[in-house]
Amino acid sequence: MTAIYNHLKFIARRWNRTSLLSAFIKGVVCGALPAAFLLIVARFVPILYSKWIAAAIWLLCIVMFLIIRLRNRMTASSAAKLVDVELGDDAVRTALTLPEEQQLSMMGKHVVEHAAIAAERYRAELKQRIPWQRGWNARLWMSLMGLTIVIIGSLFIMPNEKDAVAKQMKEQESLIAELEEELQHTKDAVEQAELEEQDKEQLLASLDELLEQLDNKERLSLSHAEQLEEALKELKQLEQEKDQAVQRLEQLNDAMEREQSLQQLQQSLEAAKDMAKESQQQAVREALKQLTSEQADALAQLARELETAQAELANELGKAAEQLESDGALTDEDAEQLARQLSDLLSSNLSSSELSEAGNSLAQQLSDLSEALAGVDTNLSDQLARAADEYKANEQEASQGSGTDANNDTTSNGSSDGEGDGADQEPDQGAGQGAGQGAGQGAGQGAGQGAGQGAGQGAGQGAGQGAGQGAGQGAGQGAGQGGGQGAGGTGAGSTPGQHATVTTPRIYEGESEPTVDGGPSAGGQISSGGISPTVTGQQGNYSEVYREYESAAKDALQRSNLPAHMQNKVQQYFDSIQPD
Amino acid sequence: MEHTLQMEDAKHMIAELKQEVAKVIVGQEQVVEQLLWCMIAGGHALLEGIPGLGKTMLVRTVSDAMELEFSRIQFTPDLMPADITGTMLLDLSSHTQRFSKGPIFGNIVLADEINRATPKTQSALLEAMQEGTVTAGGESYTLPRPFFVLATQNPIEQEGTYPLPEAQLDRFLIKIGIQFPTRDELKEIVKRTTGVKHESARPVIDGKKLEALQQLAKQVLCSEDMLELAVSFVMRTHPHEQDAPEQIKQYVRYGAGPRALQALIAISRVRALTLGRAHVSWGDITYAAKPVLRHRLGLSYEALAQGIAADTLIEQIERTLEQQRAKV
Repeated sequence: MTAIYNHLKFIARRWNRTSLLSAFIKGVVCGALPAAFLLIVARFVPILYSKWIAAAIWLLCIVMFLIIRLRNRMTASSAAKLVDVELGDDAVRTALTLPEEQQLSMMGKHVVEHAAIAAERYRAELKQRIPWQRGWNARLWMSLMGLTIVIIGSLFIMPNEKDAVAKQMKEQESLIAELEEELQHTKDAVEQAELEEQDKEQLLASLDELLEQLDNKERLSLSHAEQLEEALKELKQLEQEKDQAVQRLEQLNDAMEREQSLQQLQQSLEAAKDMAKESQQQAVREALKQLTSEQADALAQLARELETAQAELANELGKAAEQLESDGALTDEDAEQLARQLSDLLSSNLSSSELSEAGNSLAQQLSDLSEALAGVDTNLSDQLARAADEYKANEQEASQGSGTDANNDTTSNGSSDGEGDGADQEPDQGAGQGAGQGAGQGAGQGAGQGAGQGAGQGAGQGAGQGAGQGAGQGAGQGAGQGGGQGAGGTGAGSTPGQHATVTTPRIYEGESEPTVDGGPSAGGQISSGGISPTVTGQQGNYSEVYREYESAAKDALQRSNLPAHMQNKVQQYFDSIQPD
Repeated sequence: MEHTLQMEDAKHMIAELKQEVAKVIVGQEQVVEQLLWCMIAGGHALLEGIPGLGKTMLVRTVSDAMELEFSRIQFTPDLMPADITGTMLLDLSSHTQRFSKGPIFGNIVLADEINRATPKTQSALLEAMQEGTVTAGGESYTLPRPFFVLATQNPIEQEGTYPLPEAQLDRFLIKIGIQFPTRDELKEIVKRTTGVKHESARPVIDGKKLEALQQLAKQVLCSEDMLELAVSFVMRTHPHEQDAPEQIKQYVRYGAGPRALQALIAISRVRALTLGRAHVSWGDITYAAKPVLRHRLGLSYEALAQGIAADTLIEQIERTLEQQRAKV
């Protein structure tokens, strides 16, 4: 019997090793599925310690498979069954289950002998009978294992931007928790302090308010994680662009230094530039001589405002950078770079158009960033937005004030894609004289800041497209035929105008259809851009246009189910613009 | 090593018996084998086959090879029980009654076309088959040992027949189906039977040796596992058994009884002995299952109408148990 048991133990060991190998490989494959899933999800949703969790899941699956296999490991008895089933004579199990008295009987001895022979035979054929890939498709599982290891390895190695976001979220949460704790301590200290009851209550109230704000921020920080991530991405992109630009400049500089001829060219160009500057200054001086005293005052005022605006902008941006740094939304490095970029911009002797362009770009970035960070810190966002808006406003004013461009194009090519809320400002069509050379080129984006471009000049055909400010200083005479395309603006022309004729669209296109106005609007975003479906129509008398407009509005009102008070408003509006 | 030698002797004797029978009976190795196992297991056999397949000759040849007393009863509808068991006769010389033994008093009794006799006459065999005794005139007479009833019946000619009742069928250890011979076997049959020279079986063993073989077969070991499998086999013939295959539930009215299990193990043991083993294996059980169980399954009318054979259902049980056994 001992011999039989020895054979069986050997067989069982072989079986268990094979099973453990298969369990390990299956564990690797099966564990890789949830791990890969997690790592893929972590590339879309920030999950803190995603790699560690994935590795733990993977390992856990492997261990589970191994444990299950170990729990079901083969014993000598099951090895006997295996031998009996495969050899088909059931001697081993019979021998093992024989009572002792029967083992000594002749029949028993015969069975034991038979069983020992069977077990020995099986052991001799063990490698053929229990190959290491027995019971599982080794090729398939090995291929799957290789594949999963490659996938998981790639997911581990490839950097995941969401990890940084998740880390920052975690830091923010811990910071909030620390602040909460500190506030709580402070609150306790205030409660225990010997203060007047009124002061104490005030202090406690403000502390409670702070705690509540922190609690809100905690919730918001989670919901605005994506916005934060967008902001970070934009910052990174900015950094890359800046690096690329610096690199190009360096290359250019190197090339110029290397090439003597290029140096000469550079010198020639610089000389030409100086000459151009002189001639430009001369032109400006001549233009200034032609200005009236009022115009000169206005120009001086604008110049002062520009300076003030630049100073304010520098101040606000400095604050914003500090705020960003202190809020932890930006890393120190990012903050420094941003500050450096701003400083460079402000300190450089850029031309007005360059300043305008760079300022616009920067303002846009700041605006986006402030939107993204809106959920994180409202104050910061406001400051950034304000800074951006102020810069834009100043830039636009600068644009107006610098209407000394020699360009005398009568055609206007600016575009107004802002959305104004002022009344239509078309008075620049009025008569009047002036050195209408204003050529504001500002691409304003702010509300109601449509950039006027080129007011009519001289020839009386000012095709002012821009409504409002652009023509502020120019105001050429002419019959005022410019058709306003802009949606109004805030600035009024300095010369009076009158309604003579208006241009009405020939066709109306568009796809929207009236719907129920269910109440007052509550926020939303202002969208801009796109192509207007309006095409140039014909000119007609204002009263005729008014009648058509009114009847069309009445038809529309009858069709729609607008509330009565809204209909009254429409009616009032038409009464207000009724021709005399 | 006495037993080992005996086992070797047993193996040798059985092989010799088969060889002697094969001298007369062409082919039908399986039938001969099963008949011998049945006799070594001490049971009665029911041979079923169309007329002319050598059923009677087979039984006669076996009895010749075993040097046992052979008697034959041709069952007819007018056969009376006393015609089988014997009757009390008045001895005029001594003016006493004496029992005149019937043909049942033999070692090997061939009950030819047993289903042609009335149930009353068929029942006369019950006591003899089960107890090995015959009761007549209030007195029991012991039948000679060893005692075997080898009955035959024709499966296709059912007119004027009385199908054996279940109780009677259960007394038969196995039911052997005799298949039609192959072309070569037919040729050989013609050669052997139409010539001048006729082969006959010489006695290989006698009754005592046969009884010794029977005793040896009973000593063959059967492990708990094998017993468990045999029990499962029998239990799964019952349509109400939870583990029974779907076909059994659908086509079987009633399953095999305890005698089936006894028969299954007994035949398995003999088979193991025949193969020189001292223990029962799964192979023995599956081999014994069909002859042991096929006449013990009460098939439903649906099965009869669809031509579902009992052997098919037994194979189904075997497959399910094989799957269960193969799980390591």
